[in-house]
Amino acid sequence: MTGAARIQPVTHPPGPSRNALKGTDPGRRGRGANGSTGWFGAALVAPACLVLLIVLVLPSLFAFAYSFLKLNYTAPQGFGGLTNWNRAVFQPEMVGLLVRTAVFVAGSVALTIAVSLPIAHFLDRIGNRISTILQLVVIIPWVMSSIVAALLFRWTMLENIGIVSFIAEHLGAGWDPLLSPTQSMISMIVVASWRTAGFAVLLLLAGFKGVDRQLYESARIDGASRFQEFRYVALPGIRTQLIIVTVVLFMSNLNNVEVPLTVTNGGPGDATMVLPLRIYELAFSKFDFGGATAMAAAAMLLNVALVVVYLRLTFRKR
Amino acid sequence: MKETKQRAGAVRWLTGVGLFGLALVNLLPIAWGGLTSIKPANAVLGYPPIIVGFEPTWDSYRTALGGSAWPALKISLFYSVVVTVLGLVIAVLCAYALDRIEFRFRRVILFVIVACIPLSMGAATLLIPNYIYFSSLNLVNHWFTLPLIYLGLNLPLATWVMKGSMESVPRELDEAGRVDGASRMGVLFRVILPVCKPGLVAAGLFMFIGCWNEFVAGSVMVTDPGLRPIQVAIYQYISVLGRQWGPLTAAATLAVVPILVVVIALGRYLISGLTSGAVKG
Repeated sequence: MTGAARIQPVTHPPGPSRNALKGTDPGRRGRGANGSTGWFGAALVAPACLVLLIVLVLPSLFAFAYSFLKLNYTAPQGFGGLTNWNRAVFQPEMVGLLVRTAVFVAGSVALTIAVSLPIAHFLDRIGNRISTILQLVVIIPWVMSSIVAALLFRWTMLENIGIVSFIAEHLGAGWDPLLSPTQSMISMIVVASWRTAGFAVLLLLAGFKGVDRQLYESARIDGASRFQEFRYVALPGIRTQLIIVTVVLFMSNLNNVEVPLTVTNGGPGDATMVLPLRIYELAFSKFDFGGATAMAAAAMLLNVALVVVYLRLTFRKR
Repeated sequence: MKETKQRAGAVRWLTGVGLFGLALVNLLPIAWGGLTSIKPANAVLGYPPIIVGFEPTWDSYRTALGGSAWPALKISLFYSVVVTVLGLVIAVLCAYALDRIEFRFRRVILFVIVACIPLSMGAATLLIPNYIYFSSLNLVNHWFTLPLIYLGLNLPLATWVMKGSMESVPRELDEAGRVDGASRMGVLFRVILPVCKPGLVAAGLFMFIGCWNEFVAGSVMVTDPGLRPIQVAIYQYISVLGRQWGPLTAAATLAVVPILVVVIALGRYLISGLTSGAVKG
């Protein structure tokens, strides 16, 4: 079986079937047949639950608890009320920080989707062999680490001694995007989108593969143009995938430390300082763990909202 | 008629240009980074960019491997292999129970695991409380610190991929195995898993790549240079060590090549995993 052929039969959103949460088939399973089954099942999931509890669940809860404690470096020093929140979150500078974060996140999500939709649509319509090769090319920035991808992109495209700078100079344009606040923000958005576009292309492609081919046929018979086909047949057909991709992209950009850190490190000045980078910096450069926890708790609220949307999408009934 | 033909020609031409541009944008940074890594120090910062006509040298690789990159590559390989192997075992057992056995709290646990998929992308936010309580329990800066965290970050997705994979295995196969006298575990390992190979490879790839590429936790949870993962070592060439683009591109090339080889060899599993069950940015 070729790689591309494997992708075909996706007719429901990613993940196990939507009925995953419903009960299992009572005729075949259940405790009735074997009294020890309950303990057996619990034993099998126990290691996974333990790890997730330690690494993901407890810290999520602790994020809120710690934010109300006085912290000396990382050592709790008793109840602090809203001290941390007042010092780090309820500050005028927070407005600018949130605006920049919103610009970065919304810009990256929008650009990623805008780029990956036509690519995915195109890959859906060409031969399997070429499509597989192109999918591998497309996914490359995503399988590289954020650090390496962002640094190599910066070195090639954004530095004033890089390849693009050389070309721009020959075309009579100056090139030093990391000196200007606006261009730095744009650069950061471009790098983040460049890295996630391949991932979005593959998920959207899975969506397009699930659209009934006959719908295209009938649209063509009705005299629809290529664009109308895309707009009125393909797009509605991948609605769920589009929303899931959007949610995942929101989540990953809202928590993106690596790209801001390596592309601009917040600069010039504070022009590209975004929430996750500020949290990271506050804790591990300024060692204000109290302030960082309050900010992390605030960010966690946003994350939890996105997790809820994600869960609803995953388990939504038809 | 002629006009349509012309239009079709133009569309094909534009498509070709678009695809060329796409390949260029995605591959140029790797190519340029690779080229930089074999330049002598004085050519690295040369402008206009020096593309040909320099004496290739391994100096940057010697600097990187003689410095922090070599131990970092070794420890990252250790982290990734341990987490992938251990993670696959844990994920397979968990997915099997969630898919085939009815027990109390099954639905709750499934729900929590799915919630953990997006949650694990919020690692930057989780890092702060994680660091504080790991510190107070004296769990930071050990050989097991990062494997534990990486296991947690990658397990939800791997479990979900495995569950999706097992769902498609007909239960009649289980029963046939049971009739032949196999135990539950025997059925899992001899009947179900062989059929789930694509899912197994995809889950393993996600975990391996996830570990190999992780930076944020690696940069703060360990301080001992011998425990520092490769991504942190690469970043240090632009942070604490100044801007050393030569060794940086050399270390980055060393970190990227294994991933590219794996992805080119097993990419179709990665793609099928992504398009069938994996939803993480």
